[in-house]
Amino acid sequence: MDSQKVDMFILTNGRFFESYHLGQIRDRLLTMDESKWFILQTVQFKDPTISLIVSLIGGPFGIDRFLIGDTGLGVGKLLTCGGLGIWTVIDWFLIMRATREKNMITLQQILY
Amino acid sequence: MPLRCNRFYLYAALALVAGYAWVIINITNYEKTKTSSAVPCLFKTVTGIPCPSCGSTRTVLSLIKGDFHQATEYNPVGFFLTLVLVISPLWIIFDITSGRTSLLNFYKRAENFLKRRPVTAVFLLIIMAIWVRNIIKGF
Repeated sequence: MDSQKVDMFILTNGRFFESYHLGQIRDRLLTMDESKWFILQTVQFKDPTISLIVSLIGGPFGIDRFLIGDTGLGVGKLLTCGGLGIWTVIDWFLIMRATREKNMITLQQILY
Repeated sequence: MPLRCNRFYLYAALALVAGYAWVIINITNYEKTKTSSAVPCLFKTVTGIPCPSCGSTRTVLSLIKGDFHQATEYNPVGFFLTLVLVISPLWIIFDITSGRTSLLNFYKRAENFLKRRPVTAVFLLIIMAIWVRNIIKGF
């Protein structure tokens, strides 16, 4: 894939990933062929900021974990009053990173 | 066990320790006042409305006392939590000593099962029903 397209992808979607992912993404995208470009355009990533807002508001119900696809953890959070309140607070700090890691897993399924 | 599996077991063990600690902290207080000592529910503190799992501590404590009837007065979620608290340590020890990952496999299968649309819908309905019951009962 030509480097202009790759840079455009990273510019528009960079915030969905952890910074240390970006180098790996760029290298992999450069070696990929053009046919995957359309799929890349259409895939939906989860916004870490939205996850944070959901965590702040609905954290005790585990909605933030459900949003990023961690159904098991979400159920655990829901059934324990947000992990006795402690997990709710911990997730306020962890959820953005967790969202970005999940996005990377989604992307890797397309890249590889 | 590879590293990723270790993390799951570590977190599971930590969660169990926290759960047991919570039960132990509450058990002496429960003898005197029949309520839990502190309300950890952020939702209830902020809005005054109980959340779907409010009352589960009291259920667990009632079951420890052997008072099954009193336990049914509170939250059904507490029964599930009691099961988890009792079975999980044994399962974790079994997995560690035999080098298998059966608990992790079960967890993953359960998660995939819950993700199915009809299952999610039924689960949500049950949670809503419990929540409404909590609010009516004034937890």
